[in-house]
Amino acid sequence: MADSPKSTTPRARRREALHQALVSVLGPDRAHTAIGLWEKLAAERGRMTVIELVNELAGPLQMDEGERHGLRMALYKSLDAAPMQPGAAPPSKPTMAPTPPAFVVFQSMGESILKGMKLAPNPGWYDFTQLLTKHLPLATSAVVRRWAIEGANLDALISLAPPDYAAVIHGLYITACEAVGPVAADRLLTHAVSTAGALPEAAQFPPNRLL
Amino acid sequence: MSRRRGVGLIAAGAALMWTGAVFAEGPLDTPADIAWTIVAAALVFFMQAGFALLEGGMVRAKNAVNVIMKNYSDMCFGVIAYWAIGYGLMFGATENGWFGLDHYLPDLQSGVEATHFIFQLMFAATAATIVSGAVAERMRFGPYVVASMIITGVIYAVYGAWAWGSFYDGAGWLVDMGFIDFAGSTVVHSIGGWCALAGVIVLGPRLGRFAPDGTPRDIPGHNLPYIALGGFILWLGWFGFNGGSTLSASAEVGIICVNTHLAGAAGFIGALLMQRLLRKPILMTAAVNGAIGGLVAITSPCATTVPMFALVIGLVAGGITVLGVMLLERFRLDDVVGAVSVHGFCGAWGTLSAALFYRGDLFDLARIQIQLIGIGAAFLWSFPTALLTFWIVKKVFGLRAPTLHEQRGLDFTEHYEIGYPEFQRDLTHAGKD
Repeated sequence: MADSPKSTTPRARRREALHQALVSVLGPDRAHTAIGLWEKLAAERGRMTVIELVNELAGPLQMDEGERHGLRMALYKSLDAAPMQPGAAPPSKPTMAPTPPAFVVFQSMGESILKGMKLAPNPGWYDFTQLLTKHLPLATSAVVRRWAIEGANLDALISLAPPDYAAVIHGLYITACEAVGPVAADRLLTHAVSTAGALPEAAQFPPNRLL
Repeated sequence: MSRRRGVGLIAAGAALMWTGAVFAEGPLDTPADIAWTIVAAALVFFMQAGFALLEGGMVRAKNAVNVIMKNYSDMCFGVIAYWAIGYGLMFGATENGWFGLDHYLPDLQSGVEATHFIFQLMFAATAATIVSGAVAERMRFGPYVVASMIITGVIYAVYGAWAWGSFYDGAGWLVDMGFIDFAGSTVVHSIGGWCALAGVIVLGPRLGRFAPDGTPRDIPGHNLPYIALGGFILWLGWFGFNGGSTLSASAEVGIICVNTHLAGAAGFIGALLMQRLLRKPILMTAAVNGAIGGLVAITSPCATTVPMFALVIGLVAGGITVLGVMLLERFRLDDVVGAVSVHGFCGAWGTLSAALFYRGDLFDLARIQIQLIGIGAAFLWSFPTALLTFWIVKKVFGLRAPTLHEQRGLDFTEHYEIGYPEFQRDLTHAGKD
C-alpha cells in the first residue's frame, strides 16, 4: 500500500499509518501479513491499544523482543503523526518566542535522562511510555506521552506549567529505576543535573529546583 | 543470693556444671562481677556504633544520615520504652511463665539490679537496631521510631520473659523446659531478624530493586570501609555481648570469648567458601556479613560448646548468610543489609546448634526438640506481632516514604541534612516540599 493523500476516513488514515510503521520495521511481506491480522483482529474486537496489537502480532510473525519494541515505537510515532480528524492539519511548530529558562533547563535534564536510558543495555524489554505515564498525573501524561515517543521533540512539553516539570523529571527517574535500575537512574539524574547546570539558563533557574 | 537469677544464669549454670567450675559466690555478687558486667554493657553499647557504620555504609550516600538517626533512636527511644515496660515484662516476677508482673518503670535502688538492668538495656537496643538496616532507604523516620519502641518494649521483652525471665521470682516457660540461649541468638538476634522480615514485607522493595521479571539488582552501599570498620566494632562488642552474659568475672569468660572469636572467623571463611562454591564474586560485604553471622550463631552455644564445634557453627552460619540473601531475593524481599539472613536465620541455626553440639552430650534428641520449640516460638510470636505492628503503623502514620523522597534521599526529606554536603549540595532539592 502506497502513501495516499486521498485517504479521508479516520480508519483509512489509521490503516495507512499502521502500514507505514509496519513496513518500516517488518519489511513489505511481513507488513502485508500483519495488516491482514490487524484487520481481522479489529473486526473481532474493535479498538486495540498498540501494546495489545504488537502482542498479537508477535507470535504469528515470530518477532523477538527488540523487534517488538521497535514496532511499538514506530506505531506510536506513526499514529501520532497522522491527523485523525477530517481536514485536520498536522501540528504546527510553535512560533518563535524566547524560551523560558525553566523550560530550557528542564529540556536539557529530560533529554539527558532519556538519552541515558536509550543507551542502557536491553532497551527493548520494557515499554517506556507505559512506565512513564503510569507515574504521572492524568492531565500531564497525555502531553508527556507524545514527548516520550517523539524523543527529540521536547517542544511538545512547553505547554506544561513549570511545577509540572519536576513531576515529569521525577516520573523519568522512577521509569529509569524500573527500566535500568536505581544505581543507573541515580547516575543519570546526577549527570542530567550536571549537564543542565552548565547552561547559561541555570543561573536563572538552577536544575536542583526540578529535583 | 536468694533471688532467682534471670538472663544467662541458668544456661551459665548448666555450662559451668560440666566444667566442674562453680561461682565463688554467685553472679553479680562481687565487685569484680559488677565491674566486668558494666564493662561488657559498655562494649554492647559500642556495638551500636558498629551497626551505625555497617548500616550507614551499606546504604546510598543520600540515606546515610537517616539510617544512623534510626540507630540512635533505637538507643534513645527504644531504651526508654524498655525501661518503662520492657524490663518489667521480661524480668519482673512471673507466675505464669509468659511475662513479668512487676518492676515496670523500675526504681533500681540496688547496684546489682542496676547493673543487670543496664546490661539488659543494651541487649534490647541491639534487637531493635537490627531492623533499621533491613528497612533502610524507604521507611520514614517517625513511624520507625514508633515501631522501634513497640519492638523493644513489647515484642522483644515478652519473648525474653519466656527464655530468660525472671530476675526476681518465677521462670519463663522456655526456661522451665530447659531451653538454652546463653546470650541471645534467638532472644536478641532472631527476634530482631523476624521483626526485620515483617518490616521488609510490609514496606516492599526500594524503587527498581527488582527488574520487572524479578531479577534482583544490586544497590551497592556508598562506603565499604565503613562496613568493614562497622563489622570489626561489632566483633569487638560481641566479647561483651557473650562474655558479659555470665554476669560474673569468672574464668568461664575466657572460653566464651575464644568460642566467640573462632565462630566469627569461621563465619567469614564460610561466606567466602559459599560464594566460591556458587561461583559468585567474593564480596567483602558478604564476607563481613558472614563473620557477623558466625558471631550471631555462637551467641547461643558459646558457653556450652567447644572450640572445634564453634568453628563448625561459624562456618555453617557464614554459608547461611549467603544463601539466606539469595532466598529472600527469590521472594523479591529487599533486605538492605541482609539482617534477616544474618540475624534471623543464623540466630535460629545457632540456637539449634546449642543442642547439636552441647559439650559432652552431642545430638541429644530431647534437647534438640526443646531448642526447636524455642526457635519456633520465637518466630510464631515475633513475626506476626511485628507484621501487625508495622501494618498498624502504616495505616495510622504511613510507613513508606513517597517515591519523590526516595529520589531525593531520606537524609534531606526526613532530616533536612545531608551526609556529605561538599559532594551532594548540587543534587539537593531547593526546598523541602
